[in-house]
Amino acid sequence: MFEKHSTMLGLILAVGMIILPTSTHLVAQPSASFQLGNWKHASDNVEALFVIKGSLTRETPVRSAVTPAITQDSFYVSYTLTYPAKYIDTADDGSGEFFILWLDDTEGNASSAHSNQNPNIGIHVDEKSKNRFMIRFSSSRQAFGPELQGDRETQLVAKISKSNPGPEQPFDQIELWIDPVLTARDKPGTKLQVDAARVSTIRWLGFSTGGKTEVDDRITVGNLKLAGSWEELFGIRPPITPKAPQPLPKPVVTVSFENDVVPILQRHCFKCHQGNNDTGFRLDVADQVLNQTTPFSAKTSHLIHRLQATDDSRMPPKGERLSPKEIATISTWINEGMQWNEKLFPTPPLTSDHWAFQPIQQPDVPKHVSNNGPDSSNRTAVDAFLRRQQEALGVTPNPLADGSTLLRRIHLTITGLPPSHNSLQQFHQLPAEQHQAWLNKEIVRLLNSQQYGEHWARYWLDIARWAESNGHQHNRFRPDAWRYRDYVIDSFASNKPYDQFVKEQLAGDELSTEDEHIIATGFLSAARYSGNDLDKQIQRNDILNDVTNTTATALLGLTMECAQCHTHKFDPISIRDYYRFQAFFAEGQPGSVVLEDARDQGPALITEYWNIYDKTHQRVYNELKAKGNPEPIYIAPETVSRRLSGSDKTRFSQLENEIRALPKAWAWYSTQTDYLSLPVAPHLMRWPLERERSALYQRPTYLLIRGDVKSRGPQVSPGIPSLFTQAPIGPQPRTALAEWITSRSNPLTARVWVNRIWQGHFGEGLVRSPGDFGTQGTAPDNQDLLDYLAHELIANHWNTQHIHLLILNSHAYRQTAMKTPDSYKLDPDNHSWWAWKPHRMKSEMIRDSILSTSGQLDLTRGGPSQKITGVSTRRSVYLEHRRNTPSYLNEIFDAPDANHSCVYRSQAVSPIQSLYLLNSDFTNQQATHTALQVQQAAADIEVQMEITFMHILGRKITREEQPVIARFLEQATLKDLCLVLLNSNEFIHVN
Amino acid sequence: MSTKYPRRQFIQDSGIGLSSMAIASLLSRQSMATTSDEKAVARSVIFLYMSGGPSQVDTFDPKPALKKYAGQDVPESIARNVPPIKRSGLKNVMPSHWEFKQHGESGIPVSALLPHTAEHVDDLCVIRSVQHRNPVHGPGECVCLTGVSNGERPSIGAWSTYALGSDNENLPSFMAMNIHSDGMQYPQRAGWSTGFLPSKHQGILINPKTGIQHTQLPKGTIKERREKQLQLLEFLNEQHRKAKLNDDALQARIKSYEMTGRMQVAAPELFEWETTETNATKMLYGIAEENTHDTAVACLLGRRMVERGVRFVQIRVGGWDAHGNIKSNHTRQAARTDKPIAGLLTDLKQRGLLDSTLLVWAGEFGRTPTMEGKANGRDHSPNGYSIWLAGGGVRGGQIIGQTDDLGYVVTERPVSPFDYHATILAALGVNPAELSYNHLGRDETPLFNDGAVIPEVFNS
Repeated sequence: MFEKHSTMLGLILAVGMIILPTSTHLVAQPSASFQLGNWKHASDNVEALFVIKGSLTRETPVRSAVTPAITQDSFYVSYTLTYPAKYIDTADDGSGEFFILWLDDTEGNASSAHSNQNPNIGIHVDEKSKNRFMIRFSSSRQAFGPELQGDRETQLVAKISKSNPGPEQPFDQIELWIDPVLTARDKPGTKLQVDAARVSTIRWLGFSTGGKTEVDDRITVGNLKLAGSWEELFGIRPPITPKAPQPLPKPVVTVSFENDVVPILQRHCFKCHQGNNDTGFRLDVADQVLNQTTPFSAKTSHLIHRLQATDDSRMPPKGERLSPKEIATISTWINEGMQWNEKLFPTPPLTSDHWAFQPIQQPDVPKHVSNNGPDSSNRTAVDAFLRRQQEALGVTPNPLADGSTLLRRIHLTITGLPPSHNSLQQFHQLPAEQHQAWLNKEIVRLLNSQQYGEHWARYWLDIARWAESNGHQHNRFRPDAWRYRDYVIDSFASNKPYDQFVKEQLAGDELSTEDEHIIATGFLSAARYSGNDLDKQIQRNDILNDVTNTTATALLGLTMECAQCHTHKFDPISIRDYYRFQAFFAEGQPGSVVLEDARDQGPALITEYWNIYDKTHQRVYNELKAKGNPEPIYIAPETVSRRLSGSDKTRFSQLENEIRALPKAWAWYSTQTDYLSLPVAPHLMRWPLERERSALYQRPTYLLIRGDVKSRGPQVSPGIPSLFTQAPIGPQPRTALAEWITSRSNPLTARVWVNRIWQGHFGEGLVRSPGDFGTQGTAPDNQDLLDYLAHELIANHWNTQHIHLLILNSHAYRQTAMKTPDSYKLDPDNHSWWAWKPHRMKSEMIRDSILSTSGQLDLTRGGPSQKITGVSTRRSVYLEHRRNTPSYLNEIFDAPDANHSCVYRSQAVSPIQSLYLLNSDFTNQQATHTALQVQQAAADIEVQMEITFMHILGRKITREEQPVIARFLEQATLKDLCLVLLNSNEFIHVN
Repeated sequence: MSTKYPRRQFIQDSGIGLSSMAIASLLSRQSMATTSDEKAVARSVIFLYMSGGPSQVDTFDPKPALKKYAGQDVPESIARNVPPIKRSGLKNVMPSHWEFKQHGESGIPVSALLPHTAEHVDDLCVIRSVQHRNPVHGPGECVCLTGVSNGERPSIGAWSTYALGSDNENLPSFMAMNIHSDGMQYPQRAGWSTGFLPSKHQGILINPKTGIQHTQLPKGTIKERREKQLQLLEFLNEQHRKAKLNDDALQARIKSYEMTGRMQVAAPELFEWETTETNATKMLYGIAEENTHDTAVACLLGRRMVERGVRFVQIRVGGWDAHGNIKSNHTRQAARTDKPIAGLLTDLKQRGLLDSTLLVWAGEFGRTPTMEGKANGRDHSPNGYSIWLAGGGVRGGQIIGQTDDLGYVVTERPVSPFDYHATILAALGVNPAELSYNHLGRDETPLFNDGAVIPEVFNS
């Protein structure tokens, strides 16, 4: 492609030259109809215009040789045409018009027709007597485009190509665009293909009038361009052909696995290390041998070290050692790439009887067993499963909690905010017997609120290790990353089915290039990315590891990262499984992707930007080289932008501003799309990722020995872990992965998700190791209940809200937090969920709840993030979330660092937290606001006390509290009371 | 709580002030093969992190051969061992600008760059053979302080406080100070973060001038008023806690409020050095001189912290990134750090604190023996560089490990950051192999895959 490109560049110049009237290369003889010196410059792009007269006969007033001749399989030709309306006639009132650009292998003469199975592009009258744009090979093989409009300049673009490639094959296809936009590349207006095309080489072209034109017609044509590609025609950098990854060295194999290596292994090693054995290590399984060796490098192979060792680590541990010759044979075998015979020693299928890897069965809901316990304790299926467990333990569940506790509880676990003043007022006006019914209604209302989306999005953003900066040293801001945050909020708020939610995030760009789908891939692109790594292999590999590990933990509850370096010690996941899984993502990377509204203007701006950049980079490079700097010479982007010259500098900064203003998303792009369907804007940093999509063609991908990107092992292709039933992988690998993850038969996805929902409400999951459903994780407290919920999720089309309702309506959710001694003795860790366990609010809930209480919370939705240092009182989910510089509140209250998927936040307690809540400006200001509000609402101190308790704790002040508070207020202010209540355990916990 | 989530860990997660109970079983230095003697066990660590990467061949690893090869390519015999790391230039060997001289009884050579530190060589254990694979500042800093380049694991400070808790509950047990954040080596939060450990083990970032955040009462609140507030808070919290599940965590929060009052007294006292330290002490650190002032204050505070039982102090001095003109860069950096660090060693020793305080001096990597481009500087090189340890039971006056003739690649006794982390814990009397935290179902230890204590550091 590179060679062809440069040829075509020459071609443009050649054509440009012949058309310029002053050129001495002008081959065509000016005829009587050819007027010189009457140029009209309609735009900066004008190269030359001809005004051609009508002729009443076939005539070629101007023609040109094409040098070099065109034989390649396709090319583009473009020219502009203006036909004054007053000259246009049709077959009804005249004869109609005919005018063409022809392309041929012969020159002909001034009256040659050039309509003998060679391409013509122009205008002609159709059967309905309309003058229309037309492409044809002969008078009987033509196709029409839109109607000719008089008095306006129209650009005709044609792609002329060969259906059978090859220099000897004829050009037999024409596609036509009239006034195309850049993005219309794959959408021609008119197409024509013929069987009997004649011309395989274009040597000449010319403009011809036909007999239908009249002598006083004046047709203006010009801006003739030939180009090898659409991109070149539009001045866009042409896509670069993918670089094939360097193949692994092909050594001369001097040692035979079967004849030389296997006998040694049999003699010395297989006695202990063949088949299932007590040592835990098999030498007859390729993936296990890989754990101990580095193909192509015997000297760094653990296996060889063990064979050579003289201390305790020697192998075999006792008896005869391998002879130096035998060790040399094995070393050579490793150095020659460790050829393996899979027929002789097939990789045994991985199997497991671990609960989480077994299919989800629909368990029968237990029939009511006993009357022991509160009346409501059997109200739902969820309770029935728990009751069976509780009865087996002899535990009695706690009674229903009181109305105000529950009102606050549902508000906090659904929306992350305490009940509003309004909501409290309405609720407390009701008689107690109406409370439960009101709560049922309130739950539905809250689950359909924006605030629910914002609160639950925060959990997902933890899981997706989402942040608005690159992380690592330079930690550059990602100004467009907020769109993914809003996507997650909207997905929850609109109750998007979970399977769809997952598919969009893993493969949105493969589903479509619509904004919602592209923004969804922010899940993948949230990966950290070192902007200061010169080694592009390491830089990309870090991202791929991040995406692989996050996907496995977030969606499958698997800790795959162990298998990055070696076959998982505990779970049935091999190092090969890891790299097969990673291969799903191998052809993509994060970037600042241009959204739909800007895809027409984006590519041209971005291309111009890079053209200036590259030109300057080259200049600086040449200078350094000339000064004698040794290779490799690295020039950072800051240096390039500092060294821009005069006019480039102005234009470059204009372009930067224009590109900055384009709507974009921090998203994932891959070889599945190109610069037109999904343009990518610059996101510069010290040493950015490679920008060419061609750098992403990573197939084949390789297993990396001990996770080292420099030590390639055997080739792998995308595939799901071998433990699971294999699914076909089509040309869109991530779609295939998403389909498998969201298939009904996947044993993990639904279990993991319902567990996260449970955890979101109760503070802990039914599986208390939410990030590890593998053998090292904890078994579910109640597997039947987990499976019931998982089955319900799938059977209800992955409806997340359905699961919320099952949980929120249960007695388990609505019981008190009482530490009932008998139950505590039998089940102190609450495995059977016999009590509500108060849990501390998350960092964001603390801030939002304080603001809500003080009436300062700004509920504006969506949009770019607010500075953490600013005065914004919007919900915390809308504050900037940069890596390495979290808000102080997030730092001290266990918010995750967004460096890896966080599925559970620890709940540490430290005096630093208490100091913040007591002494910070924030809490003191909000306490003041709250006090002011209360004072405005009532003047009487007793009433003020009541309102303060209601606003901050969502309940009435008790009779025991009243005198204590009254005494307190004799020596302190209402603001002091507010501050104390904001610091109280009751406020900070979900009770 | 299931068996996979041991109750001990749960207490560690949520409780405070219970740490001594939690770690009793870990205190088994006697049982470790590496520490057969009964020398002092450190209580505290001061990690002097030299950000940017000091050059080993200009400080602690003299290489006369640099002169011989000046201007030439790295000879093939050495070049072939240089790992294929970007930045590891093999052209234009550059000699050191500083002469090396042997010092003390041990005769350990130190360059003329660090004359004050040189006076303490008999207390230093110089390790000349630290190596890893990451040649980039940010990830390198994470490697230096957490062991891994992505900084996902706990910092060594967090491991230390997780293991031993606090000796003074009135102060945070892990404090970090960042001095001179020159250049592009932005401080990496991972260096004082907890990774997967609970946030209470987080290093508290301190501005040496303003102290610990929020230890001042809010404007308009007097001490008596605060006492009333705390009394009411305790009443409400007790009432709330009564007969509730999860009362351990609730109780811990109640206790944390008891501690705030004491911390509000202890923190300002800690930072009140100007009126309480003698002039002689201040001069020792170089407080009065402009060059040394910032590092001097940090080092002096470091001493005051360990004196008060703070477990882990981290002082990060930026600016060592000598890509161009190493002579002026390292001269400036030495001027900033040499006297204050030497002062810290002297001061600790004269107060009898050196045995109970481990000092670690390390950058994220060293620098190439070659010139980078034409700018008279050296590029990053993690292939073999020098750090030192002192105090805390370390046998001073010894050198561990060796690099090749140009100081490029380790040839003897390679040491990884996980190894010196393990060694720091060992100095604190903790067996790093037994110190574990259950994270996502795995028992994580500070050794990660293959870290190991460096026994020579302690053996006499």
